[in-house]
Amino acid sequence: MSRHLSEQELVIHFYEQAGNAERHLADCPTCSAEFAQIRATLSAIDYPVPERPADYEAQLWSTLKPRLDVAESPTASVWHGLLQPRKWAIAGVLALLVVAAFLAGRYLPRHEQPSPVVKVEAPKTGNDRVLMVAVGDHLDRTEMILVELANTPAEGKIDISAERELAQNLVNENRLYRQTAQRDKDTEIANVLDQVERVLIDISHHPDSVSGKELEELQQRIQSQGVLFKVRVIESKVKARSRSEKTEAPKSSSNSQLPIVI
Amino acid sequence: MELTDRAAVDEVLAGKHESFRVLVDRHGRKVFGLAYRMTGNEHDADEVVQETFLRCYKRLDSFEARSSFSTWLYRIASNCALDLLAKRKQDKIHIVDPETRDDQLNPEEHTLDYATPQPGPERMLLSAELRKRVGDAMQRLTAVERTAFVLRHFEGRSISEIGSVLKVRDEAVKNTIFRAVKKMRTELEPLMASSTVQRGSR
Repeated sequence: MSRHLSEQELVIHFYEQAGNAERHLADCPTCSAEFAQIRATLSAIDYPVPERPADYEAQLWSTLKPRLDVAESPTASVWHGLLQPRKWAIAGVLALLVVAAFLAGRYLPRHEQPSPVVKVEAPKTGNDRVLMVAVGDHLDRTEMILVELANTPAEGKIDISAERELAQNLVNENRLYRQTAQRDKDTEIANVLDQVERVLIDISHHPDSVSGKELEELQQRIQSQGVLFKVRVIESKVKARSRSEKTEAPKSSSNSQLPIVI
Repeated sequence: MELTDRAAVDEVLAGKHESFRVLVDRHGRKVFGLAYRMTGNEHDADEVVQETFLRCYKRLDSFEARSSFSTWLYRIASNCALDLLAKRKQDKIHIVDPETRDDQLNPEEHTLDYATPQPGPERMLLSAELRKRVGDAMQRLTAVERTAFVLRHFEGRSISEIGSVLKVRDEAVKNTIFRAVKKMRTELEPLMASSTVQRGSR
């Protein structure tokens, strides 16, 4: 008989019904008993949602409608697409290919050119607010990771794989926002994003599972730099800016540019 | 003919903003259910529902046709709930009443008899206790654990869908769900064990 299934495999089997585990359970009384206990517990977990009134949808709409009326109307937007990291990357690669092809055709036979730094600039129409909203969302997510880590008890072996992966995802995004802030000479935001980036890299370099001591050290580093506090302060400023720029948007045309830096 | 989610989205983007109501009517209750299970109270859940539809409206242009609208909406709702939970922690408002921590049930006095078809008064009382314990246990999960657990256990979302909500790999989702289940088991199994013992002695 193959090895016993781990508790994690049994839990995942409860939700995913993996074929291999099913076969093992049929032959192994030990795992089968353990699985029965897990199933009994998980099946008993219910968390009923309070009944909503019959006219809930109408009530919801009546409270939502005034807020939607003052919100910006959704229309197909070029800017939103540009703000998605994946699309930045695609746009960047395409831009690089175009420039590389041009340079190769024109100069390669004569001499080699160093790799250029390509800047693809977005049109210059009120995109500051969109950028601020994106930075605000980014800081929201960063704050969530920092709060999670700060509040995780540093005992035994701790699985921080989810936080580590979130941090990894946020590093590139953070770099782009930091570079934009530096280019726009927005020193305050740039400095905080710089610090955030180091912390995110620090988190992402940890293994999926850390000891209590390692987590404690990480928590101390986060705490000693006051990153969480700075993120919250800058987040509220960014959100305030995004709100004020929204109200000013119709009468002013921002000169801020969203670069795609390769 | 009933408007599909995609068609309603297209109409809103084309300027017919009233069509957004179709989406609110269709998904409002489900979003409330998710929000309630994640936040643990009606007031916060209502706030999450409002914020979810507001964000959804503002970002409707970023909805990609290849994904399901409800999955996309769930992602927004989960993020809104996570934001609110983070804010609650920031505000030092603890959702869990500290007294409930010590409110341990005496296993010898309480049993859970899931095999009993008729819910007698004892069983109903115990079901209420169990619900309370489940609520308490869920409040002790971290925000990410609670999101993963609620989406998988109550909402039946797939591992990859949860991964896209949390922006992590499937393996990390599985680890997070396991962590959550382990904590729930620690809280609930003393009751389950006593239930088994009690049933056996009858």
